[in-house]
Amino acid sequence: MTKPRFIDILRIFFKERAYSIYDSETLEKEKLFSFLLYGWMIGFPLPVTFLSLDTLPYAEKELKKLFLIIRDMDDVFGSTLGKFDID
Amino acid sequence: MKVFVVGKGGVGKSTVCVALALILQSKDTMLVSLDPAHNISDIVKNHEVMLNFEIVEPDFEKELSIYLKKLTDEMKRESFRYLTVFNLENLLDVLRYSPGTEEHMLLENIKRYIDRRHVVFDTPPTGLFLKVLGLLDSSILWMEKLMELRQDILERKGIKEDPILTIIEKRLKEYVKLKNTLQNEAIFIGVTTEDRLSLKETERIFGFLRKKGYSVPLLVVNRAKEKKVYLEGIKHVFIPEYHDRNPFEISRKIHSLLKLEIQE
Repeated sequence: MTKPRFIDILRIFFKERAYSIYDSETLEKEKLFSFLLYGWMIGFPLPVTFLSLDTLPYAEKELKKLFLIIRDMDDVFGSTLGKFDID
Repeated sequence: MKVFVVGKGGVGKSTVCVALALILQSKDTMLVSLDPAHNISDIVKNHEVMLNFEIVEPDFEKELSIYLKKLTDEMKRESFRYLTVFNLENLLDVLRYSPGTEEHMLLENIKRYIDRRHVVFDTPPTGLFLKVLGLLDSSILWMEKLMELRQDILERKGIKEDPILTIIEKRLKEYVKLKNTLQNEAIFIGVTTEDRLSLKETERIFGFLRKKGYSVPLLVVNRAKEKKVYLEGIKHVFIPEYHDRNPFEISRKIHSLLKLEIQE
């Protein structure tokens, strides 16, 4: 069995890291989208738009993202540090 | 021909609207009252003649209730698990007084009837109507940005079909079409009286409409005592005081000018 080269280990590490950054960026974009359309549902002073009502029947996943915003707001500092993998 | 009649409250907009509908009357002519204080029927009632055009006076409260009822049913059909959390019945009260609701309902009514061959819109008070036109522009801009964001998310997740994106695209397309129709096919006719406040308000509306690229070819000066040009580059029609409540007389006055406009 051949030993993995150091460069391969590094490649895997950075690949994983890149995937994780990409995923967290996507999640942030999803949260932003949910917030823009349905922010009024969680108490933000945004006007109710009819586009948000039209899309509401298909927005179950988006509303879940919205609840993530509420959950993270309890510990904004922790969630920010979490994004940078700082424990 | 698609006509919007604009001007300060009480200057005789609705009577001019009836006059315009009389000129354009056919099986496919519609007179739509966007003013929440509908008074077209009252004007028509005073003149017992057969009118060959349809009068629409939308009930915005009723339309809002129907819309929410449809939405609630759709959500039940989609077996929406959060339905119990968001009480949609209570949403009606929130929506009724929410900023933008009235403007949206007006915009939807314009969208609904604008494709008729001949349609005359009796507009609501100036402030509200300008907000409606402003809402059209801001909605287009907002939906474009929202669509970009959604497309980016879907691309990242490798999702090909998305009902939310489909709805945004459909709405955007409808609004862009409406804006093009308003800019290329509709004309805005101003109505004013000779008093300073009405004239100032008309000047302001015309300024706004021109800035937005809408066509403002005609100004009807109601209860006119003198024939004076108030706005440069716009045709004026003067309606004397003894005719100001008679749509038939007004239609006779406007007829030739409007025909000219159609030919142009």
